[in-house]
Amino acid sequence: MRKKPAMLAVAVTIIFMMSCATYPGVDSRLAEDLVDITKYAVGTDFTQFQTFSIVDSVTLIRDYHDSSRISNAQTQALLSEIIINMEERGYTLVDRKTGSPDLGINVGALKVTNVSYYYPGWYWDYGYYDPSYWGYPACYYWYPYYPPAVSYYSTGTVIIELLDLKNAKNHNNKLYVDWVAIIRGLITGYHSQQEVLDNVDQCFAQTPQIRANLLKLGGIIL
Amino acid sequence: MIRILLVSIPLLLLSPVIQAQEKAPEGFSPSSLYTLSWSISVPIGSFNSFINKVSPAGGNFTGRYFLIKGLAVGFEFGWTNYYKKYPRNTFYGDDGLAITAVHYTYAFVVPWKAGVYYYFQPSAIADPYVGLSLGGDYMEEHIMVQEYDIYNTQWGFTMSPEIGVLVKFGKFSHWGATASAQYWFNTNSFSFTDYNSYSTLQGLNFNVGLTYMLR
Repeated sequence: MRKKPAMLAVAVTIIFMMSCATYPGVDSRLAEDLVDITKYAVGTDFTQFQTFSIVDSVTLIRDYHDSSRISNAQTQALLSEIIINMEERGYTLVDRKTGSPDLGINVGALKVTNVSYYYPGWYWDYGYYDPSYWGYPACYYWYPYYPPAVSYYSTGTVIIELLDLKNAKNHNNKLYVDWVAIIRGLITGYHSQQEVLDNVDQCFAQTPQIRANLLKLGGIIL
Repeated sequence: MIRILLVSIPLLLLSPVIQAQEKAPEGFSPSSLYTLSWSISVPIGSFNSFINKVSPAGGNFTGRYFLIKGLAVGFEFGWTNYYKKYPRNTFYGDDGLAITAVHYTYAFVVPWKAGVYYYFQPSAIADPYVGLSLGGDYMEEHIMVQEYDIYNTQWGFTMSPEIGVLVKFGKFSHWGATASAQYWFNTNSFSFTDYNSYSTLQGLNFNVGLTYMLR
C-alpha cells in the first residue's frame, strides 16, 4: 500500500514533465548558422543611382579597434559576387576616386569574441572604413531608418553596406547607409565558397528594391 | 426427472433475480471527481497550416460534480504547447527588413471552460461518458527567427464536445484513470506580416489521466 502514493507521484511528475516541453530559447536559435538579415531605407528611390564603387579589400573587424584589411581568394570572391549582383541590377562599376560613384559599398567581416547587444553601427568605430575613404572626411555614417535589431554578432559575420554618396552634401555631413546586409556565420571556414556566394546572392534577392532601372514587364512598369 | 424439474423450474424463475444481482452496482457512485491528464493534441484545419505537428506537450485539470444520477457539471483548465522547426525561409517586415533563416512556429493554448457531462454507469468499474464544455481560450502565437520573436496574444470563445471513459482501480477505490477525446475550436484569429491569416482554430485532444473520486 505504501507504494501507491509513490507510484502516483511518479506518474504525475512524468505527466507534468511531458506536458511542459517548449520551444528553443533565443540562445539556441542564435547558434544557428548562415542567417541573412537585410534592411533598406524604405522610401529610397534606388533608381536615382547609376554608378557604384566598392572597397578593394575586406575589413577584418577585431576587438579593441584592432582592425585590418584582408584580401585573399575568399574575400575577392565575396567582393566579386557583390559586383555581379550590382551589375545585374543595372549599376555601373566606376573608380572610387575618379568616377564619382553614386553609391559606395563597404564590406566588413567580424573576427571578434562573440559580442551581443552592441549599439547600431558599433563597428564603425572599430577601425572600419573612414568616410574619408570615400572622399568625405567631414561626414559620418548614418542609418536613415531604425537599423535591424541584431543582438548578437558572431565571428565570421559579414556586413555589407550600401552608402549614398550622391546625396552626401544634402544630408548634413551624413553618409546614409541606405541598405545593410548582415550574414551571420559566413566567414568561419566551415562553409564552402559556394555557400558564401549563395548567401550574398540571397541578400540581394530579398531586396528587389535595389535596381538602377525600373523593370518593365508586359508594358507595366514595376 | 421430476427431481430435475423441481430444481430447474425454481432456478428459471429466479434467474431474473440472479441476473439483476449480477447487474447490481459494482462499486460506489462518486459525488465528485478530479482528474489530472496528459494531453496529446492534433492541430487541424487552419491551425494545422500554422503548425502541422502533433503536440505531446499538454495537460489539463478537471473537476466534476454530480447533480443527479450520471449528470454532472464541472470545470476544465488546460494548456498545450505547439511547436515546430521549419527550414530556411525568407521573412519580410513592412519596415524594409528581410531575414532568411531557420524559423520556428509556436502556439500556447490555455482553455478555461465549464461543461455538462453525462456518465452512463456511475457506479460501474468502467463508466463511459459524453460531455460538452464552453469557455474561453487564451492563446499566444509566435514566429521566431533568430532573435526576432513576432507574436500575438488573444482571448476567444471556445467549445469542445468530448467522449471518454472513467475506469476505477477497484470497486471501492477512490482512484481511477480517465481516457478521453475532445474536439475543440475557438474564435481566435491571427495573422503575421506576409503570412496568411488563421482563424477558427481547431484541434483534437487525446487525454489520459489520473482521477480521484469522492463519495
